[in-house]
Amino acid sequence: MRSVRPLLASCLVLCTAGCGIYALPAGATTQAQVLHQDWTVFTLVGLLVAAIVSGLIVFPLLAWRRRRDDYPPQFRQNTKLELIYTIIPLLMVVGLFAVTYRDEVIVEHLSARPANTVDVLAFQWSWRFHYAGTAINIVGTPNAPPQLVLPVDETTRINLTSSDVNHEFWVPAFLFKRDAIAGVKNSFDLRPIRVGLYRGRCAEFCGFDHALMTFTVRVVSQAAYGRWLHAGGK
Amino acid sequence: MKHGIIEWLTSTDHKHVGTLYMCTSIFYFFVAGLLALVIRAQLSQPEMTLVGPHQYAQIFTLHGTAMIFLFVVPFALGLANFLIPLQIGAPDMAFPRLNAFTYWLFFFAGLTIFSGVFVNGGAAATGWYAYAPLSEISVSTGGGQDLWIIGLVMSSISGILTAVNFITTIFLYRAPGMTMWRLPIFTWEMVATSLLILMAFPSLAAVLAMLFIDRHFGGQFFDATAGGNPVLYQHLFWFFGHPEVYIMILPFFGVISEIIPVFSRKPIFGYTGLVLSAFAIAGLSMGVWAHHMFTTGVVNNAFFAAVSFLIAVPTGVKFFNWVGTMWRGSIVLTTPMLFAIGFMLNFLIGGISGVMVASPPIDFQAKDSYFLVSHFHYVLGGGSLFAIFGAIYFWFPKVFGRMLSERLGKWCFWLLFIGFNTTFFVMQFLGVMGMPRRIYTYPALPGWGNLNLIASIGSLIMALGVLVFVWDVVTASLSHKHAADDPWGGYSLEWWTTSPPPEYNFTSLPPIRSERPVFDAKHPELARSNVS
Amino acid sequence: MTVGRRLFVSSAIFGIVIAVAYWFSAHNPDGTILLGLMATALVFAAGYMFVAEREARLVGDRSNASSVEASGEQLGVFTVASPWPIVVAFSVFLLLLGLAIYPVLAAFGLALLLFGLFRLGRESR
Repeated sequence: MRSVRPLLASCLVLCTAGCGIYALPAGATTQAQVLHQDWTVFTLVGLLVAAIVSGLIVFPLLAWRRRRDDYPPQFRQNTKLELIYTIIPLLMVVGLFAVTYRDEVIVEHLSARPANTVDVLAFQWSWRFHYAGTAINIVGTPNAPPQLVLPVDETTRINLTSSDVNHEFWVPAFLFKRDAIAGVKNSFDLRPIRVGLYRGRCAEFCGFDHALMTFTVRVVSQAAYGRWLHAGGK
Repeated sequence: MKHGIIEWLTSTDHKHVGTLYMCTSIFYFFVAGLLALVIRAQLSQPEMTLVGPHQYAQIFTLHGTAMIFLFVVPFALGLANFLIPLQIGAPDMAFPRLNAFTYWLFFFAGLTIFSGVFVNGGAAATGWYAYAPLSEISVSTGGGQDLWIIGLVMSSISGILTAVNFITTIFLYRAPGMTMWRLPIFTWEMVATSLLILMAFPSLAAVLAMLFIDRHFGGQFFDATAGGNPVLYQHLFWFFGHPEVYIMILPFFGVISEIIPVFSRKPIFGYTGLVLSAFAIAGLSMGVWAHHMFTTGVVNNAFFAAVSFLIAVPTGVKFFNWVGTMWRGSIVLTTPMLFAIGFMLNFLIGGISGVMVASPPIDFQAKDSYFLVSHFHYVLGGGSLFAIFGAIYFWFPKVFGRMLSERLGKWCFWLLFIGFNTTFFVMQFLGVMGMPRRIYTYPALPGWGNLNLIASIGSLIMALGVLVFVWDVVTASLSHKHAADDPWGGYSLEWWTTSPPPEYNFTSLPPIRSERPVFDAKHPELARSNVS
Repeated sequence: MTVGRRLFVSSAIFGIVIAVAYWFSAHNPDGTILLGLMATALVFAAGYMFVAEREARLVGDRSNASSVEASGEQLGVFTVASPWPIVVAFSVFLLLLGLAIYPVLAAFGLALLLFGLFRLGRESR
């Protein structure tokens, strides 16, 4: 019995602390709202499965410790039970896939007429933001990260590529990242819902200053954005 | 009769070859573990300067490469090397000299990979998967990357030939009565693992050769400016890389399937399901590779998400079969059994986080973050590593003729279990909060310093557990108490012979009428219900 | 041996099915070629199992066999020790290292490899 109590305690702690959802950003774009729902669904299902299965693992340790020298009933199979615990998980993953597929389509949907377009170029070791149709070109360095200015409640198309090695454009507050690969143009839409300042980083290891390849995203009101554009990005 | 070092350099006995594999792999575990401690020291607080970015890159590259190619896989192959002929009642492997060759090739492969530390520019510093274009000659100019490539080519050859040996031996050298459906689950898992090795490693050898040609012979496979395609590297690498992680777990599903029945004092539950699920997992694992590429934007995410979700089903079947084995059993919590339970709990978390990242929307946040680092350490560290310790505690008496200490073993388990979960559980939070992997330092953002400090403390607890283990091995080796043939009440044929087994393994064999021939021979009154 | 045959045949069928399914869902030549080659390899192995099975009469496959029945039977040649595995491994190491770093080393490695393989062959006789 003594060996099992700490095991049980550890399981309980882990299960309850499993609410990593508290650390997940709330999601600052409409796409992120959908992504956040996925996190919630999967985390809840995950916690449920973890609780049930860890219970099934630990229960025998408490209920059926060896007390006698003879052997317990030596059963080897139960085909009906085995089929049940094959089919139920299968149905669960089909359900999870349906949720996932539907949500990915929504998140990756490209609007027919985005209000703005920014061409993002990743390079060792910073970013260039070129606002399509303007002369605004914001180029950063590892020590002076560039700032991407976006208007709230408007859809901005991002066209992403790299001029050298693989990089990854990640804004944790948007719950979203996409690869920047030479020869590949990746396009995605962002529709911020909250004014604010968000951090961005490169997430694909790209060499020496990978850790310093950051940027910021400043979401401003549409009026402020208009003024900013007019002033040539100042 | 050759003795000493010449005996070890020229032996083709599978028991010697297996022991060499396992001991060498444990050495690399220590090396890679020390590298991990440096990583955790560097990351314990924001903006530490213990190591600079280029050193850090070499450290995490060597840590990953060594843990995967020089520890987990060789340990599994070494354990299988030792056990397979014994479990099927054969005198040795089908090709003993080929067997010894594969070990020595692995030996030189490890030296080659690490020798990069001594060349200009240092060792490989592009991560364990060395994406092009980062690993191309124009970016990674030093010879360390080339030495890494060659070392991995040698590893590939070694693994492929080992798989050939395993399949041939298992198919052709089974003892009378040892039909395929009476094989111990560990041996079945090794059949599946060997098939995976044969299907996956050629892709690694190919992509490494192509990278080498790009680097030194004017190739342009992965150079976008010359019409090449960096994404091709990822396809070829992960076509190997994903089956590789199943190569790293299937043998250990087998280990758990050997340990749990013995210490539940019952037969394995759902034998057929365990065998079928091994092949379901192996087969499906060949079709999921681009779930490592969900954010590239150029693969069909739905296909790979669907197949990745499917893999959870046969894995779940195994879990339920292990629970069924323990159910209404008579459980003895020895050290091997503790490690098996720890494996199940850890792998449960790793598996659940795996199903999460199999969903592209979740992966959009989790990929290349510490959430992912947590996931793969849970399955490889919490899973494979715990099973390795379980295997060591279970089979040490058979291999070396000495028992390890139950008291020290329990200390080792608890330190590892607590330390491991402390380190890797909190990484899930760091990841979703925005900490990417492979950064040598990070700013003082809220929560990052504290969570990283907790993770680093966990690594020290684990290190303590490893030290206890080392002490246990040293004192056991020096002890004069010989281990019995069958100290645990084991089921499969290795427990029929002496500890350690003699040359050619068996002087006699019991009748083989089930997957538990030794149990049947010792408990004939229970064997009647056993025939399969 | 039927189990082995069934294993490779079902693996081959799986390989073909997944390669076709992949092509029609992803239209990606890279992955389709990889899966297709895998399926081809499995078809080879499955084909061989049909040929091999005609001659195999393994005592291990007979569920009622006892170890007495196999006594005296020549299972195979199991060497106890040989210096050639480590020599051949070392030569492969030199060969590959030489290809990357120093061509003369590769030539020496190749020579040692051929010598080692030759001696391995002689040892088998």
